[in-house]
Amino acid sequence: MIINLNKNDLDLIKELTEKFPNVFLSYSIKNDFENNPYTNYLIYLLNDKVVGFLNYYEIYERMEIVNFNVLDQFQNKHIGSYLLDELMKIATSKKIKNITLEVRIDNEKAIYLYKKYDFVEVGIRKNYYNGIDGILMECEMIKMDDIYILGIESSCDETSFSIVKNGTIEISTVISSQIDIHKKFGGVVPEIASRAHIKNITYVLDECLKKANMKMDDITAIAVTYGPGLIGSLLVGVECAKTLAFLYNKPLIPVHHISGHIYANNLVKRLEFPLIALVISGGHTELILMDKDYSFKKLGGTLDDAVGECYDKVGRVIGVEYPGGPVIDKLASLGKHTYDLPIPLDDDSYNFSFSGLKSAVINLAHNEEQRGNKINKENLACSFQDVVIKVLTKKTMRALKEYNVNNLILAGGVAANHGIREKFKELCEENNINYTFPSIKYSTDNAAMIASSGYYAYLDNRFSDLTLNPISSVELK
Amino acid sequence: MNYFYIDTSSSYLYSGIISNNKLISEVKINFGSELSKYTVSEIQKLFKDANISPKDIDKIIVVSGPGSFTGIRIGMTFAKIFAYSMNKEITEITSLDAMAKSINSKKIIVPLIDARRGYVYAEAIKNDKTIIEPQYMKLEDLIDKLNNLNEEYIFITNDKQIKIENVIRYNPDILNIVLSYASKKSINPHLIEPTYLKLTEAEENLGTNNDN
Repeated sequence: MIINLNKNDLDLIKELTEKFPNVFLSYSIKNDFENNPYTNYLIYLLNDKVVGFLNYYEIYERMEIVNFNVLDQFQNKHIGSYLLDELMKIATSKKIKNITLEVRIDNEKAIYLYKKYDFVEVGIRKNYYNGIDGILMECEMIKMDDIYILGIESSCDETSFSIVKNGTIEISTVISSQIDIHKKFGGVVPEIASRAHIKNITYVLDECLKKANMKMDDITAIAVTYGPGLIGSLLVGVECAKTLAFLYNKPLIPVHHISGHIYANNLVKRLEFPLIALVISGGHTELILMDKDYSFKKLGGTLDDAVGECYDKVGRVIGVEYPGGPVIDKLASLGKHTYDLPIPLDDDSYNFSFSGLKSAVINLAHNEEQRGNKINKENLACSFQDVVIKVLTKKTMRALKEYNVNNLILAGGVAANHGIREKFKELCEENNINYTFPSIKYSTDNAAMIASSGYYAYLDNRFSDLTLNPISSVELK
Repeated sequence: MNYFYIDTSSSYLYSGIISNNKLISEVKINFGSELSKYTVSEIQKLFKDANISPKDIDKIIVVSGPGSFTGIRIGMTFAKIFAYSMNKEITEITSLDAMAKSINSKKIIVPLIDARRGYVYAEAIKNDKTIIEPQYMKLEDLIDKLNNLNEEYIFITNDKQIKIENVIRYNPDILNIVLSYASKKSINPHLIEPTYLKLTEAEENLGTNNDN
């Protein structure tokens, strides 16, 4: 058992002094109590006998470990750990800010133990122990609490929940994709998507919490995609988030879907600013400039179809299953650029237009068919993808130059496209640009990116009350 | 026992808390197209008025539809998440059943919801017995069927635009609805699903195409 030595317990003081003669050679415990109001002794008693002690000073909001000893014959019985545990308990209850100590540089066993208790080396005291250096160690007791954000994403055909710690550490993510349900319709059917979301929602949340081994009470705040997206799909996620925020009295954070895609990169590597983000997906094609977290400046965007949408439509012309993007990407790698296609909106703006390119592909396929020529799928895919890559890289690289930005990130489902990724990699290496793209699992819609983005919104106090409403079309601000 | 009731199958929020067989707070507001915006915040007020915490609820009774697809999902999401996350008992009833429990009549009671383009969701009940099962049907077909029964009937509906006679305007008797269904068997919250009574258009078209 551990007791806090009373200065009037002369028997125990005598026993302690006799048990550790080397320590108390130069000073007496009695004198220490008389002259030093800050001193305390934790005594470890085994069968009523002293086997170890920890002498510390408690000086207002800080503590210092002065002496810490366990009798040789009682080593390796965790007595030192028990004494430190007790000290930590006292320190926590008294809201002590930090604990310091000095230890001989050659006392590896003690250093190992202190490190286990989050002590870190903060300095060296030369010749502190008669010719041997001492290490000054410190344990910071009051740390900023970890922030756990529950992210919810349901803007299109994926129901996803995720828990992310401090914006960068993914604890658990669960994604339920409806892609097989929508395949037979050749694209996402909004009402069917909404129905699937509500069917899945508690299962996905349950799996996410179980995977993280956490309860709703452990969550700091709830972040949800409020737009843009399919209104009926968004609604299920937003209602779910509001319900949880109400039931558990947690802050509610609205997250813009595009911001989520950008912060998907934050789960790979902490974002470095300023940066330019090229967001390319089935619903978006945007160039965004960021000077710091949660500062978004839109440089340009698509005037009609999103790039992913164009891929899906071209996929239909070539005769591949929805979604066409991944298949075209693969076909393109096998083909040659043999078909002549126009580069759309090849101007000085940072805007894009893909509907003209889509029409050009449709017309080309149609004309070839009428002439009785068979379309070479690989070559058409390659010619189409080449044009897409050309227009995306040209405008993005020009934006990096004009705004004098050194960091490029790719975001969105189309960021999973090999051809696009590789071309950017090549260009960024040539131009000394730091280039990040999300791993495949973070490219498509997921809640981890919403939770990561939500963390920075949390730090920026961007909260909403319970009247948060989904919006199908909304600019990133 | 404390019960929580929620129905968002129309543009109205109908919700209430019943404690020891008494209605201690309720809300009945037409939010039009802003139902999704206000539902959770109104329920927060409802709990405050009742001076009761969600933790104290023993059982949830949720209206699963039919009605507005979007509307149904608002209340359903709330109820499912509530029941799942706080481990509450939950049971579902249809909006038509809730309507039928809100009037007292010896006649055949016909709850009716406009499903647009001449169609309605309806059922017919006499002395707690279902005569016509809840279904999506043409209004004129329903009236034919009812007339063939050769008995007096009365409609109950909230949809003013439907042109019918013998109609009572729906004002839910939340206490009676809850007490009528309080002992209905609880369901696993994961398995609770909206009662749409109608496929989506895409599914209907797919069915037609396949038939061809």
